[in-house]
Amino acid sequence: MGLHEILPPGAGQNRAKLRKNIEEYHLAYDIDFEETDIDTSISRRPDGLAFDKGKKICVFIEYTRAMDTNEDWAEKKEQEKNDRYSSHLGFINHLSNQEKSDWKASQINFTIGV
Amino acid sequence: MLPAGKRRGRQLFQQSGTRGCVPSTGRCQRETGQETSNPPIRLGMLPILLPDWMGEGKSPSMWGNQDANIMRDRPIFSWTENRTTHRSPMNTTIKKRIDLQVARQQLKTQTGSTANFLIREDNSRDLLGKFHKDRSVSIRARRRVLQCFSHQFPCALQLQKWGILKKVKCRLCEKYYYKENKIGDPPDSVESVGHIQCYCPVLPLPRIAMHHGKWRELMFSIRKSST
Repeated sequence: MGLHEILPPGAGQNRAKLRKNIEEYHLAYDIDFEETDIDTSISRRPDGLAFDKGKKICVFIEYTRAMDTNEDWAEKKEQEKNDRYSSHLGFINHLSNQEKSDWKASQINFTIGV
Repeated sequence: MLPAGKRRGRQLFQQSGTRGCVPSTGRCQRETGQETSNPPIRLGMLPILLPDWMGEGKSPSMWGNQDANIMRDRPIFSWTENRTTHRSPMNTTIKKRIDLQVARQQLKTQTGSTANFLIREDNSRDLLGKFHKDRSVSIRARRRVLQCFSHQFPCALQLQKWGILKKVKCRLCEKYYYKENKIGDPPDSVESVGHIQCYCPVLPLPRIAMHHGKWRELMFSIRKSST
């Protein structure tokens, strides 16, 4: 599995095409969105990405330092991180199905209490 | 009335406890400079006197004592770890294990916030112990960690509890919000450890540096484990 650093927002190619695909995804699943949501979605960056070209798996890697005062801090932070990238994962899996590329996206969270 | 040997022994013991006593010559001169009238006792007489002084403890070994084994190098302590039973005499490892057992037992009786924090399971608390024992880490860093999880870090909230400060507001936040938004009372501005480490808007750079540093370590570990 190879690891890749995330490019800064806007540094990728085919941004217009990406916008169009995101809009189509939102319309297909009847998800309410605004123009700013798409910009936010594009500019949001996980801490890292891992690719397994053989198994066609793409993994979002998230690392968080969270306050561990409360006992349920880890579960809450995990949920928060999953919610943040759920639409991205849904979009990638949707696009993959649409283009029959067999790639699947998932997420792994690393959370450290401080 | 004590026997003659014991009486003499006591006299010598009392004399040797005073300043200016010279047992080898038997002359004992007090601070006043006057010589005592006690008979002189020479060191050559000690072997004769010693058995009387020492009493029951004169035996060179503890062979008659029930606790004699404690003094010998025998593996009298045993414990099981990962289904393997270990045996050992009293040594540094055993002392540490005893300390650990005592700490664990005492932890069960405690209900404070520090104890609650430490007994949380599956939270890698053992790493805190390893960090604290790591001699390559500076003592200041280890002390800070200890202060943080024992709720002793001298932030404003803690200083107010100790009666040293009256205000618990973060001074950096107050200045920041006053400068940026002209608001004197910003939200969530109580200067606690959590505020300093996670929320204070004036300290984003150390937080980002910490995040990236740990992230690099994580990436390094993942790369090492990747095939």
